[in-house]
Amino acid sequence: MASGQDLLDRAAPHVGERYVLGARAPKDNPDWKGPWDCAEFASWCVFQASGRLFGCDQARNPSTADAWTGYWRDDAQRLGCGVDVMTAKSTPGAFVLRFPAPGLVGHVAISDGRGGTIEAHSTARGVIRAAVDGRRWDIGVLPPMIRYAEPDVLLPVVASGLVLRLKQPNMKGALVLRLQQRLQALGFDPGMPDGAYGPHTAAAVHAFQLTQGLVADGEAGMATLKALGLK
Amino acid sequence: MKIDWPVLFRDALGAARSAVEKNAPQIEDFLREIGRAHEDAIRSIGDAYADGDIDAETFASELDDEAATLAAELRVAAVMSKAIAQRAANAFRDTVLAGVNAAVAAVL
Repeated sequence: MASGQDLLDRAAPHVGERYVLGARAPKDNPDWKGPWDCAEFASWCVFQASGRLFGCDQARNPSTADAWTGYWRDDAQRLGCGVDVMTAKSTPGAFVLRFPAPGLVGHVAISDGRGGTIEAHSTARGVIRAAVDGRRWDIGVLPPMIRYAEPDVLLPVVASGLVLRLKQPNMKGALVLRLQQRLQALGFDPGMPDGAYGPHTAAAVHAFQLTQGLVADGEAGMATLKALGLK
Repeated sequence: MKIDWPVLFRDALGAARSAVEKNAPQIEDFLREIGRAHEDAIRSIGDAYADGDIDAETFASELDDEAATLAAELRVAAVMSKAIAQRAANAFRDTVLAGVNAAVAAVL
């Protein structure tokens, strides 16, 4: 069985390759060099290391299987292989996952076990090495077809600051209102500005992020708020 | 609005320790280290509430999320039961919530 380190070794040579949201990677093509999106890259690495699909639709054909962060969430829950983010941060080849809001995409990255990541990040940055810390993640994932050693040392995760996002009940406040007004002024329709972060606001944030080459997850963290001139 | 974060975090860690007194020596180091990793996030959320950027309900909900993460990390790091980790995280959360609410109320 392939190890987490084997998986990382498959991922590393792809740093610098191109990102296209919605790109489809044939998981059984070892020579694929992109374009990638985050889930396609993560699922391709799992398949290349293990010969098994994870985080994909039900098609089960590795040439055409569609990877998505929602399928990553579903597989993690169905197979009981979700862990806390600290464990994933400390485990080479583990994954950190941000769940998608309805109708949107989340994000998934491979942990190097030392606080770093390899991930298909965004249109602007492509496949990069980045960090686990300071970003919002929902869970860690240890796909069962990969062998993971228990980490020697657990590395605490530095949590992200405030991230405006779709949640129940809706996040509310003056910052949400300013965000909606700014989006509207820039031509992205968040619906009637009301200070509540609902689905229209998330969709407008997503559209804005796509134009800026940011991670297009519909969540407004520091990078998105800065790009909007709100931080 | 100025919140005295160092004092508030010291009090919150103290409350978490007290909540699990019997297990305190076992979790002391983990609690300090993990608590520190959450400080900037909690400060950012608390300041956003104090400045009116988010409302009270959003602040409380975000603090709940931080406490849930803190409890999960404590449970793994200190190999403790879910109930004990949750008790420590809840005490931490309640102290931060009360401290920030008091600071906000003081200027209203």
